Amino acid sequence: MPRSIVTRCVPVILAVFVLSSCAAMQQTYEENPKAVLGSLIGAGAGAGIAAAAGGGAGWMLGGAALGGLLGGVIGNQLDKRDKEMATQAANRAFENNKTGQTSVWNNPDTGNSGTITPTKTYQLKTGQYCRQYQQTITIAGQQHQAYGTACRQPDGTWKIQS
Amino acid sequence: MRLIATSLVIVGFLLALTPAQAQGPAKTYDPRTAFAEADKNGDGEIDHEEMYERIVEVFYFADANKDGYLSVEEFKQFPFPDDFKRADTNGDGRISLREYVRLREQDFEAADTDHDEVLSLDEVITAYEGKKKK
Repeated sequence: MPRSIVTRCVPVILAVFVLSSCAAMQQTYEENPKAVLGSLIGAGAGAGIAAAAGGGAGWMLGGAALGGLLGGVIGNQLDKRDKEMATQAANRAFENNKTGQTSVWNNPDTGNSGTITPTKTYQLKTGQYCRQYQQTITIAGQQHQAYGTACRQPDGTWKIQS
Repeated sequence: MRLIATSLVIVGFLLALTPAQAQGPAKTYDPRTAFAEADKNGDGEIDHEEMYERIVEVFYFADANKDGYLSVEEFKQFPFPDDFKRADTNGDGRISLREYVRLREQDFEAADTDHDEVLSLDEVITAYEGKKKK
């Protein structure tokens, strides 16, 4: 088993407690790495999609946000520009939107679109701000919806928590 | 008595203050609009939970540098910057969210003249108009 597969499997197991067979995943991973990582539920898996896709730090929010929504399904169906637009919309919404105020993105080239709406603001004991949100992504006319939480990092970026 | 009157007014302003306005000096207030924004469930009353959520959001947008505290400068965005001393209960020169919540919850209690644990629009407007007359 290649070392890269091991290093990917172990953290994912610990993080999400969901894995029926690392060997089975390996085979699928070799066929479609983004789908495997994306199919592991949760934001961590979503961030993995972004990392696997070779995205930099700016991708992490978008990857995590999308992972929080539908993981591999969305990861496979959105193109690079879609993800960029979703990331930018999320950043704007988390940083600037009042609760209930929606940011929208729409890629005319693919026809895909989405919304993100902060639903609650709170602060951790550390002083760190977090915002719960509702997200939709529409692909080929079919809308997918999810909820999650993002927390503001010291560098001003937002990280998806769930 | 004066303290109570002042507290009533503060609640009115708190409810009137929108996060967008909190990013700069507030110039105009519409208590009805602000009340509607705070009244998340639309039942015509502001309960403690709605008030708390409102307070946190106002605090978030007022905290320009996002360090988790309100400085004297950041507090000047509010209609009553002199409240800073009242809010800074530990005297560290900055306002934590806990201090800010405590300040505004005191205002809530003072504004709740019928003691039903919710604020009506009338109570908010009364507080707001009371300050305008001063």
